[in-house]
Amino acid sequence: MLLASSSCNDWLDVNHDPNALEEIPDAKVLLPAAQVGIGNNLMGWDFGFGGAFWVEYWTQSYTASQFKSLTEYLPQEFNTAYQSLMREPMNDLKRIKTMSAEDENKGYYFVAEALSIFTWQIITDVWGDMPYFEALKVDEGILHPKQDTGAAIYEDLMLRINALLETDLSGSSISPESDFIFEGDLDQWYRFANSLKLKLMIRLSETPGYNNSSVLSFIQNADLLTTSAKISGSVWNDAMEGKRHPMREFQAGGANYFSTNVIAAKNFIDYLSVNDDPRLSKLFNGTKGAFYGDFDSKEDSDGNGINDANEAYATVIFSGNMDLMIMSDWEVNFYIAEVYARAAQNAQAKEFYDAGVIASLSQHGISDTSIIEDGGYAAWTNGTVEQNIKQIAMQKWVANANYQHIESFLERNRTKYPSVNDIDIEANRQFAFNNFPVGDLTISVKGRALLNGNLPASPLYPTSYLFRNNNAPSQKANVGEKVWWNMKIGK
Amino acid sequence: MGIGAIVAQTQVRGTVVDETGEPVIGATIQIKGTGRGTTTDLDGNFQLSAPEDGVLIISFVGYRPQEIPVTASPRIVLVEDTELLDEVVVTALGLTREKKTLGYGVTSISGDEISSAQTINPMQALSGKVAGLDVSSAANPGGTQNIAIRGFSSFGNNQPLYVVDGVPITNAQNRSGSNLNSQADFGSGINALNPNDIENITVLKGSAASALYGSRAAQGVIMITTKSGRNTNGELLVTYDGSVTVQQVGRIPTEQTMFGQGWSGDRALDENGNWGAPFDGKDRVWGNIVDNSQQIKPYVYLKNRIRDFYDFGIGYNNSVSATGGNDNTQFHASISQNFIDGPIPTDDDSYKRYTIASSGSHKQNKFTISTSINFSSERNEASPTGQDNSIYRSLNEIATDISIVDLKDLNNKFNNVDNYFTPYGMNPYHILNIKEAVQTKNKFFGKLQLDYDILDNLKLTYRFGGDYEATIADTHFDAIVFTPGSPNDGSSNASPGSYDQVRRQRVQMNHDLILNYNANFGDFSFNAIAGANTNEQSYNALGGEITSIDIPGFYDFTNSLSPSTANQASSLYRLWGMYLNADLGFRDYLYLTLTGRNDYSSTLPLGKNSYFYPGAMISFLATDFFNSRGINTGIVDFAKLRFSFGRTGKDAGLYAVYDRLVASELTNPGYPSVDNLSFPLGGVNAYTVSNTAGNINLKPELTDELEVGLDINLFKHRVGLELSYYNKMTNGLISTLPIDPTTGYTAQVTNLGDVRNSGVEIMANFVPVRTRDFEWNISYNFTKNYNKVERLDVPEVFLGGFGGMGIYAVEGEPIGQFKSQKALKTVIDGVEHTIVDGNGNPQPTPNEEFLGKDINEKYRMGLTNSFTFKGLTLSGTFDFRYGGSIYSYTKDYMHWVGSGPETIYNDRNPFIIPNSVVDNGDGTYSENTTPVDPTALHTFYSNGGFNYTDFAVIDRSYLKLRNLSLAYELPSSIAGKLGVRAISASVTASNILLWTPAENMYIDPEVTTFGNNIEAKFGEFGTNPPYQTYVFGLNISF
Repeated sequence: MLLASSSCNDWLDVNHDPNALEEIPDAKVLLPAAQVGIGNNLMGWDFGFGGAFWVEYWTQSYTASQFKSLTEYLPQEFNTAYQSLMREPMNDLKRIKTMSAEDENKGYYFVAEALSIFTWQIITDVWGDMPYFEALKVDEGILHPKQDTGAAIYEDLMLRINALLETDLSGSSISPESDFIFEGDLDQWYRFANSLKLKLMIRLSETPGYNNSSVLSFIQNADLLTTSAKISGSVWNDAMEGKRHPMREFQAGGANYFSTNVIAAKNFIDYLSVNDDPRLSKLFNGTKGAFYGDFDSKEDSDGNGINDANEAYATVIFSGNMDLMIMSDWEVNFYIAEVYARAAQNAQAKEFYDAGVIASLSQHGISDTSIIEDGGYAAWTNGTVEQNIKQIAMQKWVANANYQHIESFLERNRTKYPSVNDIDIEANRQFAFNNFPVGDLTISVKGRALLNGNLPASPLYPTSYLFRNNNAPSQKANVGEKVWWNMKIGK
Repeated sequence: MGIGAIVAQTQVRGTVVDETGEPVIGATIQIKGTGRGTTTDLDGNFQLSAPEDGVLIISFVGYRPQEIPVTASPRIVLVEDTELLDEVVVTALGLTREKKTLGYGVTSISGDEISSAQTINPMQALSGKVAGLDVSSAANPGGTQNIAIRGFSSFGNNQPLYVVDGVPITNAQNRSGSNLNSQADFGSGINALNPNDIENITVLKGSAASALYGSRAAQGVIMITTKSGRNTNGELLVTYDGSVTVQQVGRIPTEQTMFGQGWSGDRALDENGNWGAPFDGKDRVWGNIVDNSQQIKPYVYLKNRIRDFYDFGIGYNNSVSATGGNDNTQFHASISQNFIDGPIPTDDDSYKRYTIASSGSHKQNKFTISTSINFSSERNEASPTGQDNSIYRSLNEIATDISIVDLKDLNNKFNNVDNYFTPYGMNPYHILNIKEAVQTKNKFFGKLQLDYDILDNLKLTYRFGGDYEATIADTHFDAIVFTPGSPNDGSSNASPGSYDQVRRQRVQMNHDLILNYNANFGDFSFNAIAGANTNEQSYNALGGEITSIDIPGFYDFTNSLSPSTANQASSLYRLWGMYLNADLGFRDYLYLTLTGRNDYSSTLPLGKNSYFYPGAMISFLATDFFNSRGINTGIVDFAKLRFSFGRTGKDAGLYAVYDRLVASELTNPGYPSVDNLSFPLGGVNAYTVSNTAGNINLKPELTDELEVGLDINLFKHRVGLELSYYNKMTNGLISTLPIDPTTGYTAQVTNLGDVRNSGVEIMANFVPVRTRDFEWNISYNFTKNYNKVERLDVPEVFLGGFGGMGIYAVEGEPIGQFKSQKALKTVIDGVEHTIVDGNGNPQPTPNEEFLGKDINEKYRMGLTNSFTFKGLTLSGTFDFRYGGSIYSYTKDYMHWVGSGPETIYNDRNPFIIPNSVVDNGDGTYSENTTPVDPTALHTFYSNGGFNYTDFAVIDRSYLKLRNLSLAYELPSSIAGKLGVRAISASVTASNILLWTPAENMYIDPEVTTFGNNIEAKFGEFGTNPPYQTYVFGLNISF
């Protein structure tokens, strides 16, 4: 009987998926998926489109409707991004850390922890208060993690980055082919971790606890990134389904979102064209932008004889071999410039500001740097602290287009630049066209009423969190709720 | 024509009378072992010729049948049968039992009833006929039938187990595309069965009834017995069935007839919407200017323009069967051929099926061997539905003033891809040519059974059953390329094309070893069964695809601009079980049955994979009890009380126990032509932790069901009634628990909740008129099921739908609650007000909210009336379902393109939403004075009009004339002169009438594009219209 039952158990022991693995030999096979997973979200459906529409790079075309609700400020959760980030890269990073925590080689642990802190910051920056301390603990039986405050998350992320920076990486290594970002160069990863710490610090610039002088002393002593942390455009295969740069996936292969739904918003493209910014032709086909969030115009606002709905608006350019930015060199340079600017050290501020603009131009393959030279619209002006902060923010807005859309949204929330002009476009479109506030954002024509004239400040909580977690809070009222560090006065 | 040994015939002239000596008119006299016979005339007389050594069977409704040896002039006295229900039914494991001894409700449908419904799929014939059984049919020929027995007790698959001749068969559905995009339904395994081969179908509804079938019977069992050989004294009986089918489309949505092509209130010649100017009847140009010319037509609403797109569908069916045998050896074989090409032009919706069935048995002394082997070959072509340029979408993208049939000529320069009137839609006639989905399936199933009589009352049976099916599904979508500079250049419909092929193979093997013992001790009868069962199911799939098509019309993996890709899937499932069944009878009026089964399943954690479930049933025959005590039961001919309690256990789905790592695929939203980002990338491969967490604590799901019932027959069996009440509690329901992604996973298969289904089933039969030549039969069934999710470990579980609209399980509520965004409202002074935005439009609630609507019907009823006059039978079945809701994308979409009848409120002049207010931002509201912009009505209505997304959830009630049939059987004397035994002809019309509540002007609420799990009840996402079917049939027996 015993024999029979054990052989029956053998006969029944077939519940192992032949199309999956139950164990892997090495954490390194998880790393590429985690890196690309982060990137695929940073410029994917929710963050890529949501960011670009909410900072008014783009608006919805008159003849289609896919992104209408985004541009009207209707409820958005960015659920796809949250779900993907947590179950794909975040869970993989945790597995890498678990598998390599006891290794003498600290390489994989270091990279996984750095990317984990990086992603947590984005999550709390985007959605605000979220579960953190009890997250990623199914192995401890936690299926309903409790929500934590953004401030508490930041505090812990700072502890973690400091602990990580204590790591001695000498003698450690990671395999170059499993590292899309730095090809196994751990020195660059250490710089990435330092730059991440800077990003964590400066994001709190408007909170009472912010201390610019300690940030200043940090940047003066730390090795920071001088090249972008990015996934090279050479990894994509634009001709194949599922192998494309995330934004290209929404155009190539028949999806056609860019050729039918997305057009340039007047706010951004006018700023580029009025200032002859050479990046315009790299970002758009054409130079004409539409009022932001305007769908039902039957007027001819510019008086050229063609109704608004039928104008040939500029369309967005994404090439098949676009780099996918994780943390850009202009981003780091602009942070440094801002810290110096806040410390009123204008010479250093200018140096890093210029380096940031040049980094952006060179990412676009532009060697002409005349826009920051004397007479150039972006030349450093040595203004007041606030003017300098604005100047840096405006160039960040331009530099982030096509590369870091969610970052652009978050940084605008922090700095409140570009500013918002209250002009009521629908009240008089011709007037609005002729007196357009170039360089400012405007309130969505169709979304004007929804947030009482404010801009979106954060997406709602993802429903996959809200409705599956017994400890989840009630939903936000709308997309106008600000996260905790979004304290600067203004829209 | 009888073919066989010549037997001496004798002429029989006899009389049939009842106990009082009155002639019995219309009694049937049949020669045993043949199909031959006659009926008595007005005087109770009959005559026929019969073999000298033959036996005659004399029967008449309400009387006990008699068998007599052939003599020259017999006088037969028929005795009234108060125990009419000595009906024998097939129960679990293929055991036959007298129905009266069963302690549970069971419904049996005869093969005649099934073949007379003239359906291609046998399950369709059950619609409206069985209480407790929910059958919904797909429109396309060869589509899937969804069946649920006694409500939904699972969050996923609610399909019953199908058992053919004692062997479980594979009934998995194959589809291509997805719920929302390019969905094509290729039907399921049961389609392989020719309805003419069915002897009867028994529906086992309760847990006690089905428990012996083990784990997979938890949702009930549909037991099908196919026709087998008979003792014909060596004669060969041949039957031919043939039919011709005509199909046409049924319901087409009602449209508004006031406004034509345009957008924003203006006429626009390139628009796909009906937001233009009011119709004025004047001749106006339309479409694109091509070569400096343009077409002209009157600007009027065109009625039936969508209906006219469809053709008549035509089908034919031929089926021949042969039966023969003697005492020891019997044989049955049949062959059938079916073809139907549905109403969609071209053969885009067509179905072809060939079946061969054969069964035989041979008995020698104590040993019997029997087999049944079935083969079918099907070809199923389905027209893809939903988004992504389906026929449905293309038709609805055509403004209501444009004639669709005039778009047919694709050589006409105005109709080609470049110059078609709108860049937003495609010419449906072009789609017919470039988008197709075809599956071929070959299926082979059958059994070998050995019976050995160890003793007279001890029998050993071994049964081996096998089922093998292999399918090849091909779908292609040719490239859509616009000539640069042409009017439609830049259209979002431009596509590089795609082609894929998927090969699936399913194998099921089932072994049963059964020992059967019976004995009588004084007043007691005893029957015991002990058995063991193993079941193994394997699945293998391999698919390849190319995502661009180079040379149009050539579908091959090499014909592509980028390399083809492949994918695979396979699985293996095993189970073994042991069971016991004991029937104890006392004096023919009290019966007790005890059952028990223990299963061991591969899908549960090792060591915790064993589960036992018992059952007990009692049947008490009150009439027999009183009769045995000499008490007259009066008008009550028969009364039976039954009680049963049963438990069924169910295992988990495959591969839910262990944590897994899978090839990395990064989520992108599932829009048409958007793929997930997958590895390898740049020459590097990667894995990721599966999104589904393993669960080593999985337990079997147990369903306990209590059933009580009363079967009663009155007035000499003119009235029959079967009442059942059941209460079924499913504990530890195994399903996929959606988990907060914060955990790093989004799903885990767990025992996540408890669901109760309780209800009442009534089946009633009346015979208001019964004379010699005329009989009127009424059969009625009623079902009310109450469903409640009693426990749930999470606030809600998404069961089906799509982003923004879905059905959910929620604790304390019936399963399948609709949830979506609604219009923001507030109650001021007891009156509900709509809070509008600055444009005077309703605004949505921040999140989706429960609508207080669910998928469950309040009740449903079926009514069959049948009138027989001599050889002529007229019968009709109504199917009525009341209550419940359904999502209609068709309604949603018609509000987008402006053809919906509800989009002409106030003749599209400016209006202020009644009772609308503006939020002052300080908790107060002021009256809204902003009218809805008449130039933005497309926004207003496509957002949901006076409501929001919830506007597309509509009442699912309906009344259908499911079936109307007229059949005529020639008198046997005339048939004899024609040289055949019997000949009959019939006309059957199916689904010809449909009534729905006023708010459903759009769809047949039975249709779905969401598979055959519970999600199927969610609704439809741009499905093809339903079909009406007319079948002209001929049946000849030789």
